[in-house]
Amino acid sequence: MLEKLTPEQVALIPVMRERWITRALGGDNSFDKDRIHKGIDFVYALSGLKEPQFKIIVQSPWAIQYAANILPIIFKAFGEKSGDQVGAQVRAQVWAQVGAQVGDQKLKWFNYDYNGYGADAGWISFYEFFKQIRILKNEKFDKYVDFVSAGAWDCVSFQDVAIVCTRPTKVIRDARGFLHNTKGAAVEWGDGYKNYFCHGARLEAWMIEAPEKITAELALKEANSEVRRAIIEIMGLDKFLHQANPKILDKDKDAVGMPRQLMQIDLKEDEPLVAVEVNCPSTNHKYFLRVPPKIKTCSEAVAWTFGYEAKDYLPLVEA
Amino acid sequence: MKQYRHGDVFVKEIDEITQDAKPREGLVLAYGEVTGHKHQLDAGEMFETKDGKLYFRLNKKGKLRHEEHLTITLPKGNYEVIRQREYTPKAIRRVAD
Repeated sequence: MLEKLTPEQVALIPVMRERWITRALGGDNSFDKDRIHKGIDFVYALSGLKEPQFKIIVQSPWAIQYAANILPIIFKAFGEKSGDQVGAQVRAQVWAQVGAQVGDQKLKWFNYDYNGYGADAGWISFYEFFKQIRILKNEKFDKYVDFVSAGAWDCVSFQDVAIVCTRPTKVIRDARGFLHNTKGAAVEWGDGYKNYFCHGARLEAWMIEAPEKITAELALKEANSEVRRAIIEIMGLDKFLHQANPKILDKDKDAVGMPRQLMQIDLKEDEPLVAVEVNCPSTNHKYFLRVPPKIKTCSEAVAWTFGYEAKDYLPLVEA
Repeated sequence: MKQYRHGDVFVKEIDEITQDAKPREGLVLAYGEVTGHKHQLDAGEMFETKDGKLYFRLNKKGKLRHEEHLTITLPKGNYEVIRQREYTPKAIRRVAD
């Protein structure tokens, strides 16, 4: 029984973690069709199911949903048995026609299963570590890893059809690893589908592409506190505070006579947002600094931003 | 002990620079992440601890400059550098000017 890892084994942990993060999110969306097909058959066999007649590879989770929604229509149109008699060319035409008809309809997500990097990279990297240090040996695991490694991001399985999508082509994250890009999409897929995130909170595309259209009213209406914080960040704290009609908790002048004010905005299901507005004596620019909600005065707030209590914060010169 | 504020950088006079801090190249106390502006000394020696705490020593009077802020003159002495921080509910992060 394994009781303690050697230093070499401990050092392998971050290596394995980075390897799988890079494979999943590194922007390489290449795939091996034969290995994906073989992997699908393996997953079906493992579940005691007959291998699917159709294996479709698409380039985004959106395309999976889209395909999953129009498939029942195609199958209905051709009858359940006709699938194998229909030539690829005819099927392609039907795709195009049916796709055009249902394109505007609301899509339903079929939560059947998930197979691929998107759902599996985490636990695979965990067990791969134990395989690397020769604790784990399992042929089924190896086959499954080979399927995922062939470039599968996600898979939705039906009785006769499996739809797999490939990995994203571009992923941008913040220093803490959260999906994040305030200048454009944080995730891009091979077919042009994009996802927008700010510090892990998913936002609508227009919020990133046209942040000037965001209003404080919209931010305050947002029920999810993570998303609301992201919206306020994108909008800019200064603009948000001006529009949101804050309560003024305190007003004073700093040591060099520049005005300051402490403002509070109450947020649904979140702690209140308290920020101090300060004016730079050199540039005359206004700055807004968010401080802990327990703070009640401007001097306490400014002192806090440098790690001081108000009574100990006594700069001789401010510039 | 005297304190000075230069925009989002705070400088505090201290008795001694901690032994943990090792000499560091350069005289820049902080860079603005967006603007590339910098808070820079015209003389002295800098020290930094492993966890990124900054200190400097002036053996004679020195000047702290920045592209946008007025210059502050500091007397001979040992100093600790404190970056302004901003509160976020999840974590505390430094202000980037």
